[in-house]
Amino acid sequence: MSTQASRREALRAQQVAQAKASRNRKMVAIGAGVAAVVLAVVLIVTFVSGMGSSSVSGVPKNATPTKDAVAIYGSAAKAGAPTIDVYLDYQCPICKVAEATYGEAMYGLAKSGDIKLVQHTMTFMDNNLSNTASTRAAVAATCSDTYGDKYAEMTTAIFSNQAATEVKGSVGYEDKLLRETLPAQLGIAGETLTSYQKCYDTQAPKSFLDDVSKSSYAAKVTGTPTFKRNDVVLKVNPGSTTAEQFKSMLLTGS
Amino acid sequence: MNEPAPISRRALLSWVGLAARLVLGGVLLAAGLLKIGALGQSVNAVRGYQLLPWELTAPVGYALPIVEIAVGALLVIGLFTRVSAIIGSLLMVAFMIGIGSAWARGISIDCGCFGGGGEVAAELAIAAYPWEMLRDAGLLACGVFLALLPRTPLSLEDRLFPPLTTAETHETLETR
Repeated sequence: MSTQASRREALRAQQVAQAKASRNRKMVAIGAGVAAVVLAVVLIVTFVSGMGSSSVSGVPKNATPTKDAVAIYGSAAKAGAPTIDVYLDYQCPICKVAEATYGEAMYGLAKSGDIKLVQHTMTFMDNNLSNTASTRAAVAATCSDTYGDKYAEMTTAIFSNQAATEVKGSVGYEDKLLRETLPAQLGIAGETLTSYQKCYDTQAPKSFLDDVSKSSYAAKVTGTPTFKRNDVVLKVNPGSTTAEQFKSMLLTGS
Repeated sequence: MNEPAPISRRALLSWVGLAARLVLGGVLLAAGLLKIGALGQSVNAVRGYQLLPWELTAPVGYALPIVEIAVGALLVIGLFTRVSAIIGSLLMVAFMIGIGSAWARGISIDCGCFGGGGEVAAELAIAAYPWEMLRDAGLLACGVFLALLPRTPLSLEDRLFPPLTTAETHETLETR
């Protein structure tokens, strides 16, 4: 009697253990399935989005020694001239306003050597507008520096072709504009043009542009346009700061 | 005899748990879905906080909406409630650290909580921070509640993995 009871109990305990084990197996299987799907989606998305960085060295001719920005008319800079860092994105509408209002003064001072002008061309607007126009335009400008020495002129030309309104998913700057029209306007021709177009077609400066973005992030620049004078951010509002005020800010800091 | 059975404390708590599941799950699901169509923007939003090393900002920006959708969906359908609630709570803690540190450093950004993100006018950002913190604290409370009491009504896990009651073990025994 007692042995029968204990046998029944043992059997029941075994059955409970089995039921538990099968329940656990099911749980682990479904859990692993869910986790695997989420992980797979994350990996696929990250890889697909992160692709396209070129391994070709596309560092422009007038890159700064740190190879993460471009010095404009750098050889003209007088000793002791303040360093002006400009952070911009070719698809940023306020950058266009800033360029139209201050471009002449800024490039003038750089040419005369009164400032040391360093341009950091960022490309984060591509993320906001779901296109590649900032990168392609920045590639064009970088190529024009190496082949034609036209970084400042190209910057002005690109901004003057910026779309009037930001439209998410729009192409933005067309390849034909960046590859043919603008270099022709700036007088890039012959063999230089061939090299320029090869540079544009291979998107060689992409890894350089990644470094520009990376160092801008490290410099805590999250918005464009940002102007710094000797590493101090200038309080410039392209909507209200006049070109004269801007010029004085560049030269004296206020 | 006809008195309604007193609602037990446990049953009441389980219905609170259902509400917590739907609130936390619903918000996470909505937040993820609003971001998934613009993953680049999500990356920019992460960068706006200036907290992570550059190399991590892109993977986090891409993964966050996907994880939000997955955890939100699991909570809404009630599958792996405890694990999902713990992950959801950790996300809320991370968001509160992000927003709190942006606030403390005086960085003016749109939190990017439901898409968007990036720099905004200082007054706007500073005015929004307390509310964003409060909202995330409320959602964190939902998550902690569920981590402690994950059993809730109308959950898929109740159907897939019913608790092993004595009645059931009997049933198992009989069918064999």
